[in-house]
Amino acid sequence: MSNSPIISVEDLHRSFANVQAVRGISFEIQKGQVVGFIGANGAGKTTTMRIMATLEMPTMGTVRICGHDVINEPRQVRQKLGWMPDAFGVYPHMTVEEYLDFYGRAFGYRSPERLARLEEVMNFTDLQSIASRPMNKLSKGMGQRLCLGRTLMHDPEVILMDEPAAGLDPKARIEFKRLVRVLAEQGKTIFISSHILSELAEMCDSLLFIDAGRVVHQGTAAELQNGGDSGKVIMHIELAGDLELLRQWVERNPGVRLVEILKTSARVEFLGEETPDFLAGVLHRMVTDGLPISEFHRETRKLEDAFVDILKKLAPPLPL
Amino acid sequence: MSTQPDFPDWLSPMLVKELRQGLRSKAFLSSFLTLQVAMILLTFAGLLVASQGTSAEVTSSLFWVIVGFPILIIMPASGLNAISGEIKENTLELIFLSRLSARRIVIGKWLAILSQILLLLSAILPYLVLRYYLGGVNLATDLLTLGWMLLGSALLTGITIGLSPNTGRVGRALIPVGVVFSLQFLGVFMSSLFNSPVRGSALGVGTSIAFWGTIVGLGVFMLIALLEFGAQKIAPAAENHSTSKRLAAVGVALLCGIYSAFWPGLNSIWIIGGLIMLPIAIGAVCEPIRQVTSLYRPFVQGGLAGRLLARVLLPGWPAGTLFVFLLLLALFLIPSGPFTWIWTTPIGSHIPVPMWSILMTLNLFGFFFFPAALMQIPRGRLIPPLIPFLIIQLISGALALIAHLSAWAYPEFEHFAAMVPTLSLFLGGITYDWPKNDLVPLVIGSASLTGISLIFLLFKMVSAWRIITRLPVNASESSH
Repeated sequence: MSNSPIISVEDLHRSFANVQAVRGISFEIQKGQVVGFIGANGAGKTTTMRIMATLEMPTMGTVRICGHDVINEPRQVRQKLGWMPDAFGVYPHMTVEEYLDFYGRAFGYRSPERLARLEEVMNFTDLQSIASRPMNKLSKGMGQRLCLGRTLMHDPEVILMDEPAAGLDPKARIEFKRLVRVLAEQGKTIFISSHILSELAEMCDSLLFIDAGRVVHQGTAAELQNGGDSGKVIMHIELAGDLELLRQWVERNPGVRLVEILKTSARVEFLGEETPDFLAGVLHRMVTDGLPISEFHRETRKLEDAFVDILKKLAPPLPL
Repeated sequence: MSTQPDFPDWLSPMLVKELRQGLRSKAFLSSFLTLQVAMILLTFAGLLVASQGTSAEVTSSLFWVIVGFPILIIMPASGLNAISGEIKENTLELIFLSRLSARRIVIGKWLAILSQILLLLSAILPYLVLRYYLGGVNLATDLLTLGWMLLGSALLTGITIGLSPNTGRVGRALIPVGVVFSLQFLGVFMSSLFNSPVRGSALGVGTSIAFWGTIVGLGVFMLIALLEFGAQKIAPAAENHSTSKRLAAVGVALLCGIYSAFWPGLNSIWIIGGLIMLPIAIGAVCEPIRQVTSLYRPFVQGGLAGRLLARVLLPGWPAGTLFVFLLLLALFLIPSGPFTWIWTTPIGSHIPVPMWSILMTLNLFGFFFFPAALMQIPRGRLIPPLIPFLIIQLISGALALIAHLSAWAYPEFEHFAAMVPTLSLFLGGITYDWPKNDLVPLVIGSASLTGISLIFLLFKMVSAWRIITRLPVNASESSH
């Protein structure tokens, strides 16, 4: 049982009137992992997450959270799961404290335990100072903290977050990332969807890309940045002199390719594994060959570019 | 942060939430303040009338109008937005993810409005005493009237809460019409009851208690059905709200049956009983099948008896159809039941009794099962099955009216139309000397269509049950 995944999605399909939102998604997540869920608008992210949260019926397929089927055992799933939607409504006549107290009651907490839990959650999400403020008088950042507080009220094992950082200012984003990291340290399994890939890369152990209702990539951010092209390294090189020297050097050396010449620098591809020894060897060879190198660093592929490359690989060829 | 809870733990979380919001809402506050101001003004008017020694009838009527407006209209109407507001604001789903079921959510909403109504009523009690002090009123009658008002208000709130999950524009536009109709119906029904000799103490205290007990019992079953309708509309697929509705229909049939057996004078009891049972029955034959293990599991765990009960109480049209069939059969068999009228022909009719009885029996069964069978033909799952059912009934009504109006020119059209069970039932309702022609083809036509419908449904039911009984009832092996 200990090796079984905490989240298991198998051949998930969901169709609406004329749209197939999800087309056979399958993946597994182990306990304690923080997984990013990435895809363009309409890719099927929210539909998949809503099915996982027992809020939507799949047309076909199985989803299990902590071993419980989301269709047949929604109550058991809900006890283990915290759902943080991208937008949540407010109750104008209710304060922050009353809102969390209601969810404490709704999750079955009795008075002393509920008050303790309420205090714990409010301290964690830093809501103490605005406890008596009406819900409709909160900023977006405060609202998100409150939403996270509600999600945590019953201490769930699995947390699903749909675009949690959308619309937050930089300060609130940093604070939110910190909270996610703390939750991850506590051993929570977190599944986050977002458009901002770099942010997810910082927070997540692995990333799951979907497009048009299908999983197109699953792996770590580093794996994605390598793009599966192992055995190749792209270096960004700047010379103190003319770049023509570099072009001539590339032509003389097999296994080296000039990718792009920029204004004062160039991007060069080397065949070889991305190890410190290999990079040191390359640099030594270039200096020995008399190249006046002023800048030499490994180029990291942007996650956005990597994602676009994956989509390009999957796209069917254009008709002639 | 405050450490003292404002509401005790034993109160329903939903009730606490609704009270926290409701007591600060404009609907409640404006009703409360307006009522207080109106009562003070009315008391002064009463004092003035009393000092002049004139009749207090006008102030008394005004008192009930002022009390009735918030109790019977404003507060129940606030229930219309109870669920739809949560749906629009994306807050309902979050409540679902707690331990609260759809049933507890709906009941909590209903209880919260009822509590506010009780608060309003308790706030007018001092003025009730002042009215008594000023004279010309019977305090016991006043308190009884307030009690009935509370019951009516509870039912009306049940209607609005039950309908409130409907967020469609057409549905919401029809709700006020329904509320006005309900108020009118309740008014007419209650006044007929108050004037009925059966309720009177002349027939003894036992009769009176039985009568009012039956009325309150029907009110309770009606409330259960209404709230379950509302809960079903928002509930996830794994929640069962069909069984309780069907049991409420059985309760209504039993209550009306027992009452009509002992006190057969008041047939209107079946009218209100029918009004509760009809939507439940229509809902039962229209309900889509849900292949959800957790719905079937509790029945299977009940052994052979549970499995047998599942055949009539499990959500979905297969069990719903059998339930309606058995309920109709039972209603036919109840002495002084709702269908006693079919054993005698209408006044002025020349139709032989057996033929009339056979035809009407077939038509009544056909009313449910002919459209139910038709609904099984198209495979599209996008339109809720209730809509085609109602459309079939609407078309049947329109065709019957056309057939009746054109009967002088095309008698064969009316004759042919009468062979369709639903049309035949409508035709029987709109003309007293119908049918004019030979009855045998009508009976054969109606019997054939009702029979074919039942056989077709039975055939479909068998294949549906094969799927249902194959559902893995053990949680660990359940799959979708």
